[in-house]
Amino acid sequence: MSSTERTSVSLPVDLAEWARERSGGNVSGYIAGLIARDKRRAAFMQLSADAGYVGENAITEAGIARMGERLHALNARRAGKRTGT
Amino acid sequence: VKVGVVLDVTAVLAYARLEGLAVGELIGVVQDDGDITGIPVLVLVDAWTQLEPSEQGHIRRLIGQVDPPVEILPLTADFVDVVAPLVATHGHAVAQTIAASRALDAAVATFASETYEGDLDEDAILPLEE
Repeated sequence: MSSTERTSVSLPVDLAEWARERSGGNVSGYIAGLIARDKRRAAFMQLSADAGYVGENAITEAGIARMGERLHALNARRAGKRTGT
Repeated sequence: VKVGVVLDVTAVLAYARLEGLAVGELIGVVQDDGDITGIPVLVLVDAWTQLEPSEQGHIRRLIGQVDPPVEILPLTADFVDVVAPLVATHGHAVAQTIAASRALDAAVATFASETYEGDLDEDAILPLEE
């Protein structure tokens, strides 16, 4: 398990409220999860760029979003058939 | 961690040969969902024989980094009974791909969707385009 470091952050009120609601009270864990996800994403994007996915062949946020719509729609249809909805 | 999607041989080859932008985007989606992308081990073996060393390196780095977005799906002994009947008609790699998709309830991402018609529900096949 990683060691922890105490720090403080300032957030706009609406985002702080959102974080409290989403985290069920564990705001630190929630923020740590978001940062970890961003770190994993950055590592993968760098890995792909290093491999040669650059320029017109670069993996982009827009491309990921479009692919996400396709995958999530497919999964939803499959789940719908399973539950009969 | 849940397997969000299974890559078949065509998807692995395309990514390794830098012809798989869609595969990279898909890996990003699955990672965002907090899941992992799976490559059946027999798919990796099949792909390996068709890739140049530099192309193998792209896959090696993809699965070898810390907290990787892609993991190899093993073929355990209790899974052999499921995979074996499919081998005769589909070959080893496709057989494990089909079995993994069914067992994990994860779609197969492929550039050859016709390969899986009749064996997987159409909603379990994610056709990719170059």
